Amino acid sequence: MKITILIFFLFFTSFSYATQKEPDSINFLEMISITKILWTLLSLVLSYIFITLFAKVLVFFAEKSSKLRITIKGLIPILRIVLWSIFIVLTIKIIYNPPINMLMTALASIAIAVGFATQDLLKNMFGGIMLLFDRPFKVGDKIQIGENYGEVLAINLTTTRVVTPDDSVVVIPNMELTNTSVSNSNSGELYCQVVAKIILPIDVNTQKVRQIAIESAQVSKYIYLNKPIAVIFTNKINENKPYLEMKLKAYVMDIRYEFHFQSDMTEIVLKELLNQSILHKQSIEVATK
Amino acid sequence: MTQNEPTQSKKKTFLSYIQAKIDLLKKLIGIVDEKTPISFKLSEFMQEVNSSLENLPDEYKKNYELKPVEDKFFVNKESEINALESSFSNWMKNRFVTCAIVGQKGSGVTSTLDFFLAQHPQVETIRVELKEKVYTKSKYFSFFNKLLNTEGINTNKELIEYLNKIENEKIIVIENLQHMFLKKVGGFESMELLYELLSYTTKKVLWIGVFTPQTWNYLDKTISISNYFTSEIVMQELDSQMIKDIMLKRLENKSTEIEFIPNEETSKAKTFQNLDKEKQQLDLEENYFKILHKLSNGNISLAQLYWIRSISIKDKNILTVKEIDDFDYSFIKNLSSEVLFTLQALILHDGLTIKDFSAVMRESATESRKILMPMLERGLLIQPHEKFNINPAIYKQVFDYLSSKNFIH
Repeated sequence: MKITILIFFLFFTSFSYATQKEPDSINFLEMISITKILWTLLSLVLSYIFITLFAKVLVFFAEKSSKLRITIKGLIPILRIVLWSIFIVLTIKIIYNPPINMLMTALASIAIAVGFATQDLLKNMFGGIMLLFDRPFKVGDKIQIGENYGEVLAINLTTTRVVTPDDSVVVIPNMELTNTSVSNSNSGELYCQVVAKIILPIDVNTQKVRQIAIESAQVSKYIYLNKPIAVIFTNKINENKPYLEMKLKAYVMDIRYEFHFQSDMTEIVLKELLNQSILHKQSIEVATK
Repeated sequence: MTQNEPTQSKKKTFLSYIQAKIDLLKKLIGIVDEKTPISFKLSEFMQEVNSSLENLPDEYKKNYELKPVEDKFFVNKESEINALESSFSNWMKNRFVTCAIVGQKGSGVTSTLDFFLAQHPQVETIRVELKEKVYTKSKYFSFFNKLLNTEGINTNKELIEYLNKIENEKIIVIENLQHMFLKKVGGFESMELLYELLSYTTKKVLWIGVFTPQTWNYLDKTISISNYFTSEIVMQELDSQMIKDIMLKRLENKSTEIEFIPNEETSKAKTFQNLDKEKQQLDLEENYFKILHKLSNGNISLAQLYWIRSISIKDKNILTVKEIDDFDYSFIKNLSSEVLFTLQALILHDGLTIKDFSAVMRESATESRKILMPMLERGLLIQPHEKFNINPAIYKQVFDYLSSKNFIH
């Protein structure tokens, strides 16, 4: 659809400008014919098929390698834009071969016309381009935008798709992504930090709990041990009753196991605290009341 | 009609040849993602090795049994021996020395230790190999009571006092120290007690511990094990020539002739057919040891398993060596995450019993059996005694895959 609009504007503006300003140059109408239009359409269909297939092959190979998964997927949107640009330029050059002046005029008019007609669309497109160059996140990263948290599925020209832990796909306009703060959990790496929060009574032996928490993270099958494990206690108050909130921060070896790891750490810590009678069922109730 | 038949069959052969090549190329590039089933050969690997060994005459059987090599077969491990000697001389100078040997099972650690200890008969040696998990306090003290022939030692303090009071200095070698922990909360207790013991008794005892590299890495990242061992000796991989020497050295005293047998594919290859018999043998020999090195990853025991699987005796003095048929390992990529986590646990622990496995995975014994038994039947695991271990034929491929997926890092 976008491409059809572009072609329409190319046709319209070139026709009006080229014929008025350069009467001696080739008339735009002379350049087009039914055959050329058909060739253009065929070329665009072929380009679409090629680019889609190419992207699918890249996704296939990305899934084969854990280390390169995120890098390859991150490159796909950039390659898509580059390939579309190349194919459009080649199509115009090979099929129409317009004089440079006419091309420049056409491009200028496209910019003005499209700018007026599709302001929001353009904002999203520029947002998308900014995202591709600034790269605050890549496909495969886990990001938080407002209330939405999840893995980036695709960065398209106007929108970004994120899949949340409950398997819903959220479509976010790129303009919004450039205007709001985005928190990235893994920044292109396979591992990311996971935080398990545990509520504890205020008088708990923090030294002992810290030791158990660290060991719990270390023995989880999802742990990534090349990064440090941290335990942070915070004093909180709920209905005038103080309690401790423990944050156990450790890294998961693959972001796909993020929630498994979070649950695993919580389960191990709580089980061990109860086993060692550091925590009692009653004290949990008191702390959370 | 009869004239057409050979032409048609030729065409068919050519087409099937081209098809096979295209399939191979597709597989190499990774375009096909079909689920390859696990080969039956894999589950039969150890059986084949055992039956091949059984069929060998006694004089050969003795030489190729899986056990530490005798002195005459020991192939130089100069750098490791030198490192051990240097640790020993430092310890003799009353310096704080504890030694960790880090090597895969079957990489020649026991033979290296045999060789080193034989050079120092003047120092009393206590040597033990951990066969089961010793990860609790009670198991730790009963292990040391048995090792030192003591009774009723129940604290590390008593143990330290006992060792510091002995008259003659000792070398204590504990092999398979990877069995002194279990990946569960409280599973590092024995290891921590051992550290304390090591740090207070080095004047009287030269401690030498042997670990697998995976366990060593894990323990280093969790409880900083390298801080407690002043000298870390890593067993080097053997190259293709060394593996060849080791295999052939055992035939040196025998007037045995070796004949390499090509497989069907090789014998049909034109380049092979064009060679004379002597060159064919040289070519087969060179290829055999190249593949053997690749598959064994420089591990003597694994190389020996493949070697035993391919040899047989023909006409008393002729030892035939079949070309190695490699397995198709692509099935590893299709293993479920549950299987991958199981393999991860088995690699880190160098094998687990059902009881220990259920403690590590926090599953019931029934659930653990449900996970392990199908893997055993499919040939992914072996169970020589009580412990489940990864089939040596796929160990390296599994390890590489788990590393690429960050399961082992």
